[in-house]
Amino acid sequence: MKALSKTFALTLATLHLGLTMVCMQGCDLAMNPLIFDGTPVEATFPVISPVTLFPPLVYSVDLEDILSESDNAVDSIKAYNITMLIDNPGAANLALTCNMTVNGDTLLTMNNTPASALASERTIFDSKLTALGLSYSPTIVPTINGYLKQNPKPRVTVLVSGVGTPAPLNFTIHVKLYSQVFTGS
Amino acid sequence: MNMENRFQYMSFVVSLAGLIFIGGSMHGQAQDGVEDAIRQVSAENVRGYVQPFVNGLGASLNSGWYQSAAIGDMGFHIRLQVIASGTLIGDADKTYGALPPEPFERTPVETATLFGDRGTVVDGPGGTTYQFQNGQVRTRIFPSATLQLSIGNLFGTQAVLRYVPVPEIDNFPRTTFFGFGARHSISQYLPSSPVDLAAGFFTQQLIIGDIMKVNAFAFGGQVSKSLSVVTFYGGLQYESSTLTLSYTSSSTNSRVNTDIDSENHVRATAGIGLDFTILNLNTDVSLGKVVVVSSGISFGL
Repeated sequence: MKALSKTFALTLATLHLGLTMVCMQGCDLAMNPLIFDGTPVEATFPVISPVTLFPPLVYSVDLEDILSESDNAVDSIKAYNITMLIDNPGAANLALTCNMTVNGDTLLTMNNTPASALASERTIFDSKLTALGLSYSPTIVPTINGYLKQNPKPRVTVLVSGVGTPAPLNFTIHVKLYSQVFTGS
Repeated sequence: MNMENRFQYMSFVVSLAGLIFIGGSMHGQAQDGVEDAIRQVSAENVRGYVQPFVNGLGASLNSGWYQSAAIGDMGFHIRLQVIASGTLIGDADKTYGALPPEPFERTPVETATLFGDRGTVVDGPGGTTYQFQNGQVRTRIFPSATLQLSIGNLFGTQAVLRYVPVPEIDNFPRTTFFGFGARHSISQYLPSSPVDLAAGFFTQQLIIGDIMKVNAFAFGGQVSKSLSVVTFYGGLQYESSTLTLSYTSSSTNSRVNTDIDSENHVRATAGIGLDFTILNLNTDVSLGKVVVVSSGISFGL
């Protein structure tokens, strides 16, 4: 019985020590870099015009603002969504035909697109918008990602110009960029 | 965990002067990363991302409450115990089906949980890509440890207490852990019973940092048989645990308040212990939705 007890004692002690060691060393914490959402950056274009043609409107966006709420070491940033919203207190049947660029590269074009389709924030990649005359440039995301690779992140100029019907025009276009921030490993 | 963190961790544990709560400490060390990771997960995905964490933590918390069903009728009893337990983490706990945000196709994508590896990358229109959050804890066993005091005996009843307050130290979040329970001898009403029988309930709360709170509850029956210094014990237990998350999601900038229940509800436990009067050692294994291994060392009268 004494030998049996000793064997059990050794077995239990070994198990206990083993489990305790596992408890203390078995976890590998924070093994992968965190992925954060970048602060969305926005360009806003208030349009007030007595005629259908509105002059080119320019908005400067500081891409460094994407990191305004991050205090982590950043490895890279990638855009994953661009949205648009048209705040239109004017004519309910407003339609836009316009062109929007980022540093001269086409972001999107609208061809008689009803503003009501964008009364709430909506991704420009929504395929249903194509039927409404909105089309995005297939190269704009890689272009923006190219800017996001630069350090420090540059300011980019977003420009919109075109026509809206019927006049007079009184609306505001909001374009927002969403991105992911990848921290260093 | 690098060497510096490990040293800080060990120093911290030692500085607690015996209030050993390894599990809470490790959960705390992980908490910054875990908390930041959770904040980035949308409300619709957070449940799947943390479910294995809730299962593991809940199962670990509900372990180690008893090492025998023998409870004397009346007389002084006090025992201080250090309990280490670990919930096994399988491959199924490392992935879940997550929904990507707009403009990506809204169908579930298999990606990493908190215990997983890298988050899956999905491709969207216009050359967009989206990567789900990476896993933050790599382990095959989810550890927990606590300090437990049992006091009795009054009419065949023992009280069991767990309490560890951990102040905020540097990046170490404020953590509060409290639990209590009671066990009552059933075999005192069955004098001819060849084994000892008891029943008990246990409740506890663990608050880690700003966004996580865990409530756990368990009740069940225990049986044991002592042969000289060796005690064989086991039991059946119903249990529940709930992780309450309260944070602002960075991905949607919306407030998330959600309760995530553990999937572990019933367990069967079998264990063995050695009773050297003052010093006791025990080890057991519990089978349920998850498998938990627990071991303890205790001192007392």
